[in-house]
Amino acid sequence: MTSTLPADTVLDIRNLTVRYGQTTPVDDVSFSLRRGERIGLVGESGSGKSLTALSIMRLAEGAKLRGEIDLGGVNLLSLSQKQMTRIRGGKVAMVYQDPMSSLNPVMTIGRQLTEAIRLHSTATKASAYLQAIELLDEVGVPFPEERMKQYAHEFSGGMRQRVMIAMAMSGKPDVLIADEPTTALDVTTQALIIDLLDRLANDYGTAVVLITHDLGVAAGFCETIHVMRHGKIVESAAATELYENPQSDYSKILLKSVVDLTIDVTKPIPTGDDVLSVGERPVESVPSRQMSDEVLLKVEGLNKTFHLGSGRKITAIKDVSFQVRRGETFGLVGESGSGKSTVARAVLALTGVDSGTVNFRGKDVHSLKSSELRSLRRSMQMVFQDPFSSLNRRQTVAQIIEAPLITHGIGTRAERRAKVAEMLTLVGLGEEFADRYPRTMSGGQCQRVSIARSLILDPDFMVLDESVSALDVSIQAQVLNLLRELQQRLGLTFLFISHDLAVIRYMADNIAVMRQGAIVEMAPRDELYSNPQHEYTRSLMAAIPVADPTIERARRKAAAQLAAAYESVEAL
Amino acid sequence: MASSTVLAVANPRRTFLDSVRNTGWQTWVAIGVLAIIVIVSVAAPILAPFDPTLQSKDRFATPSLVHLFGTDELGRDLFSRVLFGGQLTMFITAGATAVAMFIGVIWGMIAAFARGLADEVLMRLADTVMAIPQMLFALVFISAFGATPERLALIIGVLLTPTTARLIRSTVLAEIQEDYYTAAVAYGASPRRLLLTEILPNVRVPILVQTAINAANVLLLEASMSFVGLGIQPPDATWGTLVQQGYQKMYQSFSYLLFPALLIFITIWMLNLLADQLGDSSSSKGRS
Repeated sequence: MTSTLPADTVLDIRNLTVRYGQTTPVDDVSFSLRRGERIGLVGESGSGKSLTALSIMRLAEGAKLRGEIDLGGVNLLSLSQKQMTRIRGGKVAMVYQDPMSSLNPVMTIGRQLTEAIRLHSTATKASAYLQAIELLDEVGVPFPEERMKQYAHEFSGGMRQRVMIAMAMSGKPDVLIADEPTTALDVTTQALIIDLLDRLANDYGTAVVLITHDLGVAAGFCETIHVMRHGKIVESAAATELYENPQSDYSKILLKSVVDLTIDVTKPIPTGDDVLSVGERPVESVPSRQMSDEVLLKVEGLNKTFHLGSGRKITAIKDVSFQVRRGETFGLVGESGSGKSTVARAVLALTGVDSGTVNFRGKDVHSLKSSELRSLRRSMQMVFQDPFSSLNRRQTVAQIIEAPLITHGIGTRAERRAKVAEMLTLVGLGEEFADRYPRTMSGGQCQRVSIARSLILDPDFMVLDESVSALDVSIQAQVLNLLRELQQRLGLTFLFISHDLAVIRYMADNIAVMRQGAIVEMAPRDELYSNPQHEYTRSLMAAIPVADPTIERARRKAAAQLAAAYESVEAL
Repeated sequence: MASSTVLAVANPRRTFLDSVRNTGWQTWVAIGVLAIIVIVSVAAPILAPFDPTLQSKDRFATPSLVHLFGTDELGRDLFSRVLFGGQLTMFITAGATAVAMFIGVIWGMIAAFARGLADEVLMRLADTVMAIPQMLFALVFISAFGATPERLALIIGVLLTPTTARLIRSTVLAEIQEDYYTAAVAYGASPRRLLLTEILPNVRVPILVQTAINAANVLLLEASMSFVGLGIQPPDATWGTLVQQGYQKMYQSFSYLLFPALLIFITIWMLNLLADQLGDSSSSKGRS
């Protein structure tokens, strides 16, 4: 086998198996990397992609490793942990998803970088300091000399990730493993970080393993992609090959379930079953919804400022106005910190506002008495982002879904149980879930319970705050389809909030784009996407990765330039 | 998966038992030892071979089959005195812990729920109480009201209230941040329901842990107070008073000091062990 490997192979993984007790989260994984090569490990949560990376670093605690990890002729699995400390950060370095928790909050960036450099070289303090400045400059941190003296919290998410990359590159590694490096970042920043990795791989000949759930990101960056599922590699192919002609069923599902800007908004998103039975079952299109002219929700001049103490304050939303007609889906899109969640909470009177009104069915929710507000809450519900945090972990599914009925004193015990069963069927779970606890369920299942709970009071109006963002691609498609179907069947009105322009496009009829607490652009869907007026909307749209290697590569260059232009303005 | 579902159906309210079940043998050791100590202390009138105040001429007797722990300076049977002392100690420990938990939980929950000014007032009050040296506080109250078991329990309980309130406040605040709480507010749940049905089951384990820690602290405080002469007055005795008296007669009888001190030590040790184990079990499965 070794004989077939090209001479410039830097990392060769053969039959890697990781065991925890009885489970085998990584099962017989093999792949190799050449100098400067970019490969992707793509898969959904639980596919074993991150554990594979941790195993290469020998950081999988308590796990039994089998197989071979050959790094330049040395089998990493035969090394002691002490010997591994020289490899880690030296020959192999890693960048993690959350740059905040990977940096030491009480040490300056400069000190951390300098220490990292000195750990793997004989540089003096002074020369390491200079090297660190150079590195920061290299990864695109503006004013590196001043930035050296700052702490992690003084950096934005994107800048922090740059620092992490600088730190990883400090040992001039042969292999850089990037584990979901852009998942915690905004789309516009994402393009910049991927572009940076790309440049580093070119300039230094560092081989990069990109671990991601996002096929679009992988498409633009990787030459070879390994699709993982349940701990196994189900398909390995050149990027273009994979996207044009996926071989395994799972790759097909992943590719088809992606919500991007090209999908047909009149049809359900293909899920696993649809993809595998292509041609046999015509996908029905969703009949167009009936939208009345009745304004169900009218938000006018909403302002909210948070006081952080010691005189500091943050304007969360400023002068936000929009209206939602009965039966429509109103989309609110923006990056983190744009104030969209504050709007959601203000609309449902879960937080107070400084000024402005929220009129729901002609009543101002912020001036109602608490008893009136409580009865009005029957008609307006919310589904949250984190499916696990949304459910009380000490209650069964039935208790969770039933709670709103008990609160409003509706029905007898038997009637309530019947209604719970009905709701479980409605959201596609089935009655057998009634007595389970949230921790025995997947994220998608928990989110369905959350939806069932919000529907049990027969509301008119639902706020969906990033309700599919935490879900895997294939599950996201199912939940989006479910929401549209329910809306159709029950005549619901949605306020749909997301950072994802593609998802918003699929769901919403009218869309408002938010930035730094204000609505910068508002238009019907088709108008917004065909002719975005505001520059920020355009940069957001340009930033969405496309699951097609050829398009994605060109797109990312353009997006990175646009975002860089924006970032440099922000930096000033 | 199937078995856990069955379990869930059979026993939906499973916080405490489940936490114990998940922790292993150390928890059982702690519970077992504590149970024996409590039962033996409570059953003192039945188990004690002598009246604890009955004097005899057999002073400072070494441990024998008749006097298991020996006798004291008045010839009283130390085994019986330790048993009855245990009874009184258990009464004070239970009483003070109940006071600290009752006031502390309500205090902490109100602070967490009210936030704003009420929170500020309640927590600054807690700071103030904690800033007073405990012994000084106890000294003032005991010299003013006298040291009956009930008053001791009350005073020690009050002393431990602020730390309890703080802990409960932060635990409840963490739960309030969770989306399930917001969801309950959003469907119109009443404050009563929010508190009792949504929050309380999730803070039950931290409350249990704090109860064990408080009980250990009560024992320690009571012993220290007795040692400086602020505890129960003769002829009644707690373990703390016995330690103090035994300490003065250390050269006449080793067993006088040894057994009550040993019992205080073991009880506190087991309470702390229990608290640690329960705490571990809750943190390992608290968040998904």
